[in-house]
Amino acid sequence: MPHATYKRQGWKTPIELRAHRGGLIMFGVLSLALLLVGRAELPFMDKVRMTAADLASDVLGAGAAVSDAVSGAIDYVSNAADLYDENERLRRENTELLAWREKALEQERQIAAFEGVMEILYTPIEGITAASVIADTGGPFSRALIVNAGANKDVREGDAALDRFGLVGRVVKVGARSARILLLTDSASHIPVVIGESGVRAILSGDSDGLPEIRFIPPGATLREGEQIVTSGDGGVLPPGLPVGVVHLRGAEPPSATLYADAGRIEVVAIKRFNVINDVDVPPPVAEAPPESTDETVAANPQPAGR
Amino acid sequence: MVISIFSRFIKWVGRRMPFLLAILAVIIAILPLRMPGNLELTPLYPLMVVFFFGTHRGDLMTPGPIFFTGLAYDLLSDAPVGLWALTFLVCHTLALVLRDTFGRVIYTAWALFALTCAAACLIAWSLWSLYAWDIQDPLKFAVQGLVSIGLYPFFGFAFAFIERRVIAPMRA
Repeated sequence: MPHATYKRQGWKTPIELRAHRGGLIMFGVLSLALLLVGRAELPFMDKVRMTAADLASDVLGAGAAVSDAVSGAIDYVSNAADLYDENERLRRENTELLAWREKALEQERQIAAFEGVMEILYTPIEGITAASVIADTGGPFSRALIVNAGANKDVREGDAALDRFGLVGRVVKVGARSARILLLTDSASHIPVVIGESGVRAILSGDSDGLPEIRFIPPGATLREGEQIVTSGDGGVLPPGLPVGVVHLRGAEPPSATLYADAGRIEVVAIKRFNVINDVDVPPPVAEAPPESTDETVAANPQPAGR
Repeated sequence: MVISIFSRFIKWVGRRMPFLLAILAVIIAILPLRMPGNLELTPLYPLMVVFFFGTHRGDLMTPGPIFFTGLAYDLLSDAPVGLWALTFLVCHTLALVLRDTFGRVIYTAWALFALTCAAACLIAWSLWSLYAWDIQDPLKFAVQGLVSIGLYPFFGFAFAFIERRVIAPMRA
């Protein structure tokens, strides 16, 4: 090795340069080996991942609190400018909601009466855990959140996660003090749903553009813009009746869902545990279409939409 | 005696400051930003730290800390384990070659980071496509890379300040 090489590269001795090169090769080979081992999808790797999330949960929790404070301050400043308009909008919305509330109470009484007569057994919700979002994986690989509740709060894989508007995703990995929630927008997310008054069953598949696609629509079925989408409960993947979003028609492209949940601004999620009832054929509750629905329709794709 | 132990502790922290900054960058990269419009691509903060200290203080940002920074990023960001670790190591090597070829004056630092970041995105996208055995959407990586390149000058100045005003005095 020429004398000047290590000096020029900032090393004090040739040994330092050799050690650096040796380290690069050693850790490079180790990284490659980890990639190959990870490709085998060993459960061990999931445990390591959740252990790392558990270890980082305290720091992430503190960081998320700071992030909340900063975004809260930004929201405060930006909202202060249009307080009057916002107040007017809320008054109008409140009037509309009071009318909806009366309707909902009436329907709740009717449903309870029907359930009593028909002895229907819906999938029971066992319990609800509130959890704060402490990390957003925010990369090109997946759309997932990490929350600060895990096995210690009786969170289990498959539980449903909702924000105040609707379904966010479901729990896919559980650590001791944290859990990973796969968002509905992740391309690995596929949940059975039921759409609108007609009760069309389909699969909602995540898409990278943030608008999940509605796929596997039965031949002959039609969808309308703005129809409500709720979980169907098929296959015991999620409890039936959880609000998901509304239908959005996209012309020649497969229809998508505009989600109620705003995945980018979630601070707290409610994690719902439920028991799957496999031996009872439960009809899912069908939600009424929102009043703003238009008459625009789309013919169902007879073939499952490809990706 | 107490002063001696404290002094040694400060030097120890000073030696590991770049690695601690890199881990902090990993944490910041996955923090929920709650941005409107569901902005899902955060800049490659860990790469910025690895690049700056790898090229300016190679004695403090050695392959070990780079590997563990990448590993932490893999584990917490849902990337395949080993992907960012390998990417950062390759990019560190590339950054050293570029530095030794073009120098490390302030005018070229941004351009060198841009080349390194572009290489990082290309490597990560290739590894991810190979890993999934399917051509992945390169746009996400491209956007992530462009955002990182755009923000680097601010972080570069901040790191230079930390290197001069914090790390150097701690190690003195």
